[in-house]
Amino acid sequence: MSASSDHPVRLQGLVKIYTQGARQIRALHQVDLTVRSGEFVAIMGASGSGKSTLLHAIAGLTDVNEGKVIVAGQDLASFSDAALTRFRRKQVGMVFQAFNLIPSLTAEENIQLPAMELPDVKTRAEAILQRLGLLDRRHHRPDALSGGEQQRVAIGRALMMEPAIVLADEPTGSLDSRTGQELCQVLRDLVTREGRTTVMVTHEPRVAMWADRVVVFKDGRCLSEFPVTPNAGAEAVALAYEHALQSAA
Amino acid sequence: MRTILRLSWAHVREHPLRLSLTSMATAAAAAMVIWVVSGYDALLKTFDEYANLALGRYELSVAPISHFSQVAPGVIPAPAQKDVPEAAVALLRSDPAVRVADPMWALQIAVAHAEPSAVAGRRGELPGTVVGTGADAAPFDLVEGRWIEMSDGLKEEGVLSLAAAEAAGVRVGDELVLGSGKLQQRLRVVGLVSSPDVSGWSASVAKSQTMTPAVGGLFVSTKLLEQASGQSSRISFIGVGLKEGADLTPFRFQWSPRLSALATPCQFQEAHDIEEALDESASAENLEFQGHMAAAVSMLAAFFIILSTLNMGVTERIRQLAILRAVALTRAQTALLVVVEALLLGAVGYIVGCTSGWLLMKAAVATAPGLLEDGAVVGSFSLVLAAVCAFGGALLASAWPALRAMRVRPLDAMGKLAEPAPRGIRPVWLGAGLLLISVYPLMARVLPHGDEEPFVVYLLVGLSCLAVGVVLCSPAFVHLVDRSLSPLLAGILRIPPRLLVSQISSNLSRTLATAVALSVGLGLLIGIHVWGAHHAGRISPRELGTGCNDRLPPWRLGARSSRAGQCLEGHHPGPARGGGAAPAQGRSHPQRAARHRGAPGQRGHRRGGCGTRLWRERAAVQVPVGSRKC
Ligand SMILES: Nc1ncnc2c1ncn2[C@@H]1O[C@H](COP(=O)(O)OP(=O)(O)OP(=O)(O)O)[C@@H](O)[C@H]1O
Ligand SMILES: [Mg+2]
Repeated sequence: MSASSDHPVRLQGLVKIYTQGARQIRALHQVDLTVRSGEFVAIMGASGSGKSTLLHAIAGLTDVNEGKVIVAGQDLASFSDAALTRFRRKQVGMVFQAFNLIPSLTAEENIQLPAMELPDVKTRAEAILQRLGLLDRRHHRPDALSGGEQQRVAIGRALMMEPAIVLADEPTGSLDSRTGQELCQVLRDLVTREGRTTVMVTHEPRVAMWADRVVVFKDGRCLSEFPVTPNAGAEAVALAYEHALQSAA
Repeated sequence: MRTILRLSWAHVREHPLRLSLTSMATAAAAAMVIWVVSGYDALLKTFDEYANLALGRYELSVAPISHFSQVAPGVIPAPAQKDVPEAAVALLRSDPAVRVADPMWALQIAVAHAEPSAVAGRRGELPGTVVGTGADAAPFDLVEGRWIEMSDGLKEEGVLSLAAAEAAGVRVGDELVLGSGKLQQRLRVVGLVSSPDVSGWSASVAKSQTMTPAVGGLFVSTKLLEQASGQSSRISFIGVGLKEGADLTPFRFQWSPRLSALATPCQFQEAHDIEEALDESASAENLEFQGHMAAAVSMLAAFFIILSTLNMGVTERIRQLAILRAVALTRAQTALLVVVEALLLGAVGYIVGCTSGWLLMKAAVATAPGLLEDGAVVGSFSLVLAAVCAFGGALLASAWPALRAMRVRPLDAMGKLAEPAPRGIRPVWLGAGLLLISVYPLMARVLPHGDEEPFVVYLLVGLSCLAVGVVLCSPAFVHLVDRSLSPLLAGILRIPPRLLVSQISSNLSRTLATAVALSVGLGLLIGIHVWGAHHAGRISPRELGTGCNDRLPPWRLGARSSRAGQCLEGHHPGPARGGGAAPAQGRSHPQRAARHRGAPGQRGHRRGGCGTRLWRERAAVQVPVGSRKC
């Protein structure tokens, strides 16, 4: 197995600085992170700790000031804008807190979006709709779907191109706790059954407990990390997270 | 591409009201092009048909060159002797190639039913142009009766064109009265000929600008016409027929210099010359120019309407576009999305516009059959021009929104979008705007200009500067209005003033686009009115010389032309009834005028009092067709 398929995500010495007028904000500070193939990683941290920025850097949505982002064996810095879009479409599936579906398209069309040019788009979408239990909702527009259904559609869209990695930024943030748990189950199943590498940002231990590993972020730095055992509950994760924060302090 | 098509269509469909309003506006623009340009196409077709038939049994007609110099719009020709010299007839007859050379005298003179009661119920209008001739055979095929007996000089007989007879309800054997007062002559209709059956306004134009037997509605002997008019005969033109086997080209080649060397220089007209002359005539050119203007204005209208819709769409959809950039589309594809959307709007507008243009023509034909002479025929050129307007306007309009869409970054979908902060007044924009606005008045007042400057340049440069200037100044105006009126309006409407400001100033581009679209719409309306009135004044039945009874299309009828029309009811000698009718005073088109033969040398007569005098005199006397005596 090559290094790239072994480690779909490798971040080395990542620095991201936002400039706002004369003010500079260090959102990421020398971040190193590697995600193994088929691994489910949760990134936890306080608000403003740089979690989303990290995810955007992995997706190539934002330039970094220093360091390397290697996704599926490709250094993102080597891509032109159009090539990066094509790469992202193929290799990176994204799920956002706000669902970010296209309101004028049906659930099925939203799922098909990244793959509309492919000849087998219909069969792919069909399989995904079935897998996510959305077959009876396929012709509904987003405004006719519940929050949980919308987020499942978003997951479906992320899976459409069978990407090397799925990135999810607080996917349960807009859902009630029960629906949130159902969605976590969906993500977990994707990792367990299909070996889909997943990086998920959250600040909820109840969500992070579904992951294989939790990476703790603080002030743009990767503070520490801890594994999550299959039967660990939310409390155990919360304790481990608090411990990580305190030991750093 | 499938993604883009699907997305564009989905978005267009998402706002049915916006789609229908935008399409309706674009459709109206396209329909206008269809209407105007089809009119032009139909006119050319009529001219073509007319030119092929107008010479009748002759191959050529010989008429004074100066006759054809009257065609530039607004130009009143110099007083000129416009009759063919007598000598020309003998000269032509001496040529062995010539089969027949018939002098003809076309005169506007009153023609009436001799016993109106006898034709009650089938009485229509009788032709105003009578051709006096000594020809021994009818110039066109006889459809009924016989040709005038020419052996005796004063045979009280006449032959009517079939169209004129049908229009007036006259039959072979009926009696007519030629002329008025003591000179009146009675005559019997002995035959009907099938002269070119074109009617309406284009026929009037055709008859006024060519000299062929087709100008006449009634043919009589020259003697009879002399008696009825009290004038001695003249030769308006000569119908020339060649012997069988004679070659037309060398004949023309040999005769042209001799004709132009006559006391009154003359020239030949063949069918294709007639068609060319008609196509190039001021009326055709006016209509063509109108067609182009209509196309340009429609394109502009389509442009602004689609621009404001697309711009609004991009502003609303920044987040959606960002998502699309994040998960599916490249920058170029995002731009293409907007362009395709514009083309979709243009296409809907085009289809609806062409259909409604056609339906409009059908409705016009159904309600006023004489309005469109060829019926509801949508010309292929008009379809092409309407397509250029709808799609060209759409493409141009999509440029700026597409550029904006391209600049959307995927990250714009990730966070909350901040409300755009209202921008203050930009002094540079305001200054530049005021400077540009001053260009047109400066050009009009300060720069010297006479008749020779192409006014189109003034129009284009001046009005473009004015338009851009107003657009540049408008943000400042919006702010000023906002600041001064918003608190008041907010008070009346009982809404927080900040909210109102955010709706007006913060969405400045939308406010501006709406204002621009509105002003273009209004400008379009005013432009059409002004243009129509301007041309109605320019071309009037009197200037056409014949066919005073023919209808003008309604969009040419302004106050001036209807007054001119009143003065022309009937052709009886008497005091000037239409003395108050002002001549066309509009600016002439120097380039177009110059293209017409004989245009140089007439410049001194274009404007002013001479024209008014001319009009009075012409209204008072019988006017030989084509002759414009001052
Ligand atoms: N576009 C931007 N311009 C300037 N500063 C930014 C921008 N985006 C993020 N930041 C700053 O970078 C830091 C990290 O932001 P980021 O969004 O990554 O945090 P986060 O961990 O995702 O927070 P949250 O849990 O609230 O989503 C914050 O201080 C934020 O204010
Ligand atoms: Mg975040």
